[in-house]
Amino acid sequence: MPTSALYRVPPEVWEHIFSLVEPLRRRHGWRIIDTATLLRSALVCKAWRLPALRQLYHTIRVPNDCLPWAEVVTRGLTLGGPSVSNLIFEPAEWIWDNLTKPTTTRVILDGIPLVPRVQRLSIHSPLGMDEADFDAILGCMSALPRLKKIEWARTFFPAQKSGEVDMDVLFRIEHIQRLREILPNLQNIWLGPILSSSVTSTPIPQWMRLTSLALESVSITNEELYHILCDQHRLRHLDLNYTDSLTQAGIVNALKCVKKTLRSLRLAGTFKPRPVGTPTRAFQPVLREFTALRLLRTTLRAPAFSAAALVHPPPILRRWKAWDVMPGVGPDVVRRFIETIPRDAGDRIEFVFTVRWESWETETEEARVRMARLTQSCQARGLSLLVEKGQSAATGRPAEGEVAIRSFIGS
Amino acid sequence: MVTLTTSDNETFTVDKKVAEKSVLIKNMLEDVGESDQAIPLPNVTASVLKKVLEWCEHHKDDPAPPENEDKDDTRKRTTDISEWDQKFIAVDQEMLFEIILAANYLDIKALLDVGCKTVANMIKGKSPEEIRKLFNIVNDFTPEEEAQIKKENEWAEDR
Repeated sequence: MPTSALYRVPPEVWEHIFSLVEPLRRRHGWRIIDTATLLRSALVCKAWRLPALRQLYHTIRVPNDCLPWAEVVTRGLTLGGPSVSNLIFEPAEWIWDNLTKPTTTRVILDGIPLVPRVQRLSIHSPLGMDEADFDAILGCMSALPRLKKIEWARTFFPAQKSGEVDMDVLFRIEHIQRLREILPNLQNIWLGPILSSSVTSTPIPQWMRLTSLALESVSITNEELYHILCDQHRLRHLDLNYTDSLTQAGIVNALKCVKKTLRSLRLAGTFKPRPVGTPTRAFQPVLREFTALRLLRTTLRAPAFSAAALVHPPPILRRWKAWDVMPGVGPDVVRRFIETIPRDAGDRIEFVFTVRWESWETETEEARVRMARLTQSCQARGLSLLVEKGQSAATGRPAEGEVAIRSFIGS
Repeated sequence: MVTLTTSDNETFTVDKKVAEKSVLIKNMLEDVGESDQAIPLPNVTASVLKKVLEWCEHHKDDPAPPENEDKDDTRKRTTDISEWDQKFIAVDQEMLFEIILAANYLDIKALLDVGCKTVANMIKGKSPEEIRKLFNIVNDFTPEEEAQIKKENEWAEDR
């Protein structure tokens, strides 16, 4: 007699089933998982125990600046560590002001060996690190063969501003070289404001599987960006958000290395705001060569760049997004951006802008005039404007107090 | 057109576009090239394949899922099953798990998600005993093993 289908379901499919148990709620893009249902599932039978526990311990957040609490979590990792897929070291907000001794390295070194199956590793605020600490952490990462994504960022602390805590050693190109040697199979890298210039730099050899790279707010030279990108022939997603140490010509030169593969590019805040008409032509003849680019993300406050970029846009560009929640980015700023869109830009690019709700209020006479000017500008270009007020943060993006503006060309 | 042969020796002739919803079949077709030979599917019976093909036919024009998507981002709400899919998957438990197994074998991710989400929704909020009863599962833990799992993970009940 054939076995019931339920008993032939393999563990990886059970794991997938448990990964789809409805979360209790979502907050800031995170799923607050239904731990009770997962634990109860683990108690059903032996075949369900491991797949359910793997989901229960799928994502673990470890406070890396509070040793007593971290020790509790580390003890927990000795039980659930083999099931952890996402491991996040981050500061616990409630002790920021009382921070006296950085403990990041110790917590990370204790935690990493306990999570051999981890696929995504996030390290926030690596305070107080010296070269030896970096070496030790990079060294222990070599024991993570499944690691696909690494996020490494520094958070700014009140204690840093007051000078009570030393700034840590910064990531340099040599450290990226080392990362490349230790983790040749990484697919996704996000580096926050911890990358600084080296005295010398050499090209990073090809990362065979690297498809996504974000260098946000980092301070590097044009040559270093070139050295990072020049051999990354599989790169599809690149984020240079607020990397304003670079010049346009430098960015263009480096981006040429990935112009055939890049599908999304983020340059928000990368250029200092300038009025339309100032020389910002470096991108103009180049963007059309980005034959795979579908998504471009910029800031609304750089209309000069958009004006230049839209003269000859990438041939298959489908979407232009801007997330600009600085105060004052209201209808007038959006209008100035929209006025850079050529009338013959085609009927295929969708523009999605997100700005603060307060800057978009329409109660006063002045605000109504601004809105009318924007509407007129849109109509003149055959654009229809759809304004969506943000929902509350608990129900997903955009967060409360923000507004998404969707502009459909030709609709 | 593509011909498929099931484990119980029934043959199905379907549109290539429908058959290629299965990554397994798509790869096989690419490997063998243009051929009239039937593709054997030794892990799927005729009754299950008929049901799977019904789903593929309905979804043949759906866009391909975006590549390189973060797995965390793809974990949609389990209530996200479309109305048509909900009716499609309203089958007895044996067939539900047979569809899940076939979708896994044939590598049809969207169908696998429909089946798995349905099971996840059935599990949600139930006690171990209620789940065992629902799926007719025998408890093979000793009382000591059960107590140990509860003790090691007791935090999970308190959230």
